[in-house]
Amino acid sequence: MSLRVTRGERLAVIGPNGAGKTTLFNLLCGELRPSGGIVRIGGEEATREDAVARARRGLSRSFQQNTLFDETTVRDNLALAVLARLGRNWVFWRDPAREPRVTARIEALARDLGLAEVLDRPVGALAYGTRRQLEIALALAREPEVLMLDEPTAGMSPEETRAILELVRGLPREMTVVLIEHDLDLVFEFAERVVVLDYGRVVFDGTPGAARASPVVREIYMGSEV
Amino acid sequence: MTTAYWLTQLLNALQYSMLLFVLSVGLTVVFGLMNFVNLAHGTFYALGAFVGWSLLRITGSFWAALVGAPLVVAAIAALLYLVMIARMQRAGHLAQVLATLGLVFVGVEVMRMIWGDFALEFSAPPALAGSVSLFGLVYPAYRLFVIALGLVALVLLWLLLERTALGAMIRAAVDNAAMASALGVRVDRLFFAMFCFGCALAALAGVVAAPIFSVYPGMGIEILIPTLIVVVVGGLGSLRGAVAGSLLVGFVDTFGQVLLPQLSGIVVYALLALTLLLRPQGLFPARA
Amino acid sequence: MFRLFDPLRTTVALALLIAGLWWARTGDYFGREILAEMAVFAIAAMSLDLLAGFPRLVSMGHGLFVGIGAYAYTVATVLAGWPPAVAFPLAVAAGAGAGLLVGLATVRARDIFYIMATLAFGQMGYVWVVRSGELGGDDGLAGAPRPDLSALGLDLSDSATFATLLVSVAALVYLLLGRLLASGFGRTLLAIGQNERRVRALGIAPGPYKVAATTLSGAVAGLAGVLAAMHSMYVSPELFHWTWSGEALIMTILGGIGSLVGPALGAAAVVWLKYAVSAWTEHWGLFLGLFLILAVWTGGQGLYGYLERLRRWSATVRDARGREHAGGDRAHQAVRGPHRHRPGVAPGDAG
Repeated sequence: MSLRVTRGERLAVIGPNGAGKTTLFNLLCGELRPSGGIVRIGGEEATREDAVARARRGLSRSFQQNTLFDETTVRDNLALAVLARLGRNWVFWRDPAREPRVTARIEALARDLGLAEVLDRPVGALAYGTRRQLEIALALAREPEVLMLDEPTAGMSPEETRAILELVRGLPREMTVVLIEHDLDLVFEFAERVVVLDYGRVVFDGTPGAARASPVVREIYMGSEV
Repeated sequence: MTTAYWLTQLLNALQYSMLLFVLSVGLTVVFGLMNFVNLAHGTFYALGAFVGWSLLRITGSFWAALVGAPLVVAAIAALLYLVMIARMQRAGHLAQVLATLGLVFVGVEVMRMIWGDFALEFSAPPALAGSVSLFGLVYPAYRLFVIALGLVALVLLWLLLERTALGAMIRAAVDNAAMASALGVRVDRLFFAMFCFGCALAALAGVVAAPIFSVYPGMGIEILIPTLIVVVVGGLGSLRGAVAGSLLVGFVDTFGQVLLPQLSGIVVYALLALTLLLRPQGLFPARA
Repeated sequence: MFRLFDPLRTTVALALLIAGLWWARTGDYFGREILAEMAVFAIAAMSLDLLAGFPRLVSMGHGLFVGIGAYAYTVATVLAGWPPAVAFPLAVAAGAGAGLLVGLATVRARDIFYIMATLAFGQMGYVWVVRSGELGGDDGLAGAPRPDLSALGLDLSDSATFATLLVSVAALVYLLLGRLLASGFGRTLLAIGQNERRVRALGIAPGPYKVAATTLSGAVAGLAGVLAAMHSMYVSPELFHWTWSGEALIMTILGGIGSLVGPALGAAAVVWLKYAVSAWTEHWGLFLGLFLILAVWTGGQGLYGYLERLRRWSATVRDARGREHAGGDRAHQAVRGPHRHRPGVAPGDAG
């Protein structure tokens, strides 16, 4: 398969379970090494780079299953991500998370994702939906050029889903957003471009309107959904 | 250095390898099944030697000790598993490993309480007490017996793992426990059985080793490290790995002491360090 | 994250320090010897906690660093005839160097493999020392001197002065490690221990942090080794043996892994128990093993974990009582955040 994403694009990747959506994410983020093929970021080849190097290039992701620091507070979770963004992890003698610009950033993120109320609560004690919001906040904290969200609204209530949609829409225009999602209403509302995967291949690539009308999509995707 | 000398070293290495093989095979399979490393494995080895010593005193027969000690130790292992390790299933692997570290300390003291601090002599059976002349080489018959026993164990284990339904289940569970479980394999029961079986094998090794090294409470603590090295070098969970690891460690240690006496004992660790750096999965991991 | 000046942590640390200083003044000779041993083990256990409690590098070979520190100091002073002022930093650096090497060699090893690798490296040191003639083999080396601090008015051959010094050094190590763990570096170590995958996704490579932590831990453990050598004026290969490392790990776990003060508490408790139990039985190891099994069985939080639970429990009771009497303490509630509403029926009662 071949996939090209341009800067600032709002792309949704859909497809039935097992189509290879998360595998595609893992390949793009460097968690998996491809057995063949090339990954380029900003025109530069990045195939052999690991997840750390890709994150530093500006690729940031959320995970399908919450991947958080469960034993600390929301504030500490966000602090680590903000420090990673600022390259302030190698500070041995002070706590850079207390610096005004770091706390301001943490609080801004918390506000944006509706986490302000629970900033000082341990993550392990939070409701599932709230943890899901933190999952997105951690990906956003790096201020990525490309934000990749793997089923961000899975298991969320309709109101929470709406809030996430508003948030993603409000992101800076120059940020590229790639979304894996099962909620088709959300996909059609959010995306400028829809890519449909099936058995690891791109079977459709076009606008949401075309996707809605496409018989191929209807057959392989809607057929299994509805 | 004559040919006979080198042949003797070769047989010594083979004999040590076979001992390590019988010890490590249980450890590696249990390890492969549940990522569970039993630090008390050596304790069961020592326990086997002590129980064997007592059985030898009571019955007067080496063969009764050889068969009886593994059975007794397996029963003790089963009890410990049910009382302790099974109940810690949810606590995670690390907790279980640490609990077996506690067992190491407890085990040494219990053996000291029952059998005392001093090394106990354990004589080889009369039938194997002498030496055998082999291609002009005189070699203790008992050590040849150890080699033969190890080879028999190897063949039987190979048949068990490769040719029986039980073996197929074990291999499936080592490969992918969740998948095997979904296919109806009771992984926890399999694990329990293999844990006891592995401990019985350790006890067997203890009885077999007793006439060579004598019997003392710290013997299990001493043998544990080479056994763990075998498991790591060979690759966890596989019979092939246990064979390869045992041979490597046995030969490297024996010939290391002959060829590099100033580095004796260290070479095995160098082998381990090298393996960890170059092939962290070991030579023949059961899981790719 | 780790908070050094957490009230409970500080209370326990101060209680330990005051008890130690008081005991050094009022105890008898034997008591002071025990106290010095406690301080040495406390330093070793805290350095182990830096690895095991934060980035979750559960080392079973920590004795390697302690042993290298102790032997480096003894060899430099006794065999090479260097002054303690030179030997001391050298030995700490040797511990750090060993930490760096072990850290680099184990950077790819995870959980069980990490345990095995550290176990084997420690044991390698043991075999090496036992087989080497120059280091005294099985017999160890005697004669490590205590430094001459008469310029400061301190006579270290006096057991009370020496014990006071060791307790003070332990307190200093606590503060230094605590400050380190409360830093950006400490935050990252803790994060690596909790979720390495997320750490990598955030663009942080865990390897260098693990190596740095192992190096620092090796340095502090080396310091413990130097103090151990000064204390008993004798070093033995037992320091390297894997059962010694196991004991250090047991102290750390019994005291409360990941709390820094807990391991110091665990070291004091285990050393005290060892002498108390040894007074009437020679089977101390039996108790040590049973304590470990018990500690792991009951959740592995250790003594400090119990204190934390007690604090939470008393806070809940206070809370409930406050609401009953005054209709709810608003300020208090705001600090703790709103309580999550729980459905009336527990999951088990449904249907």
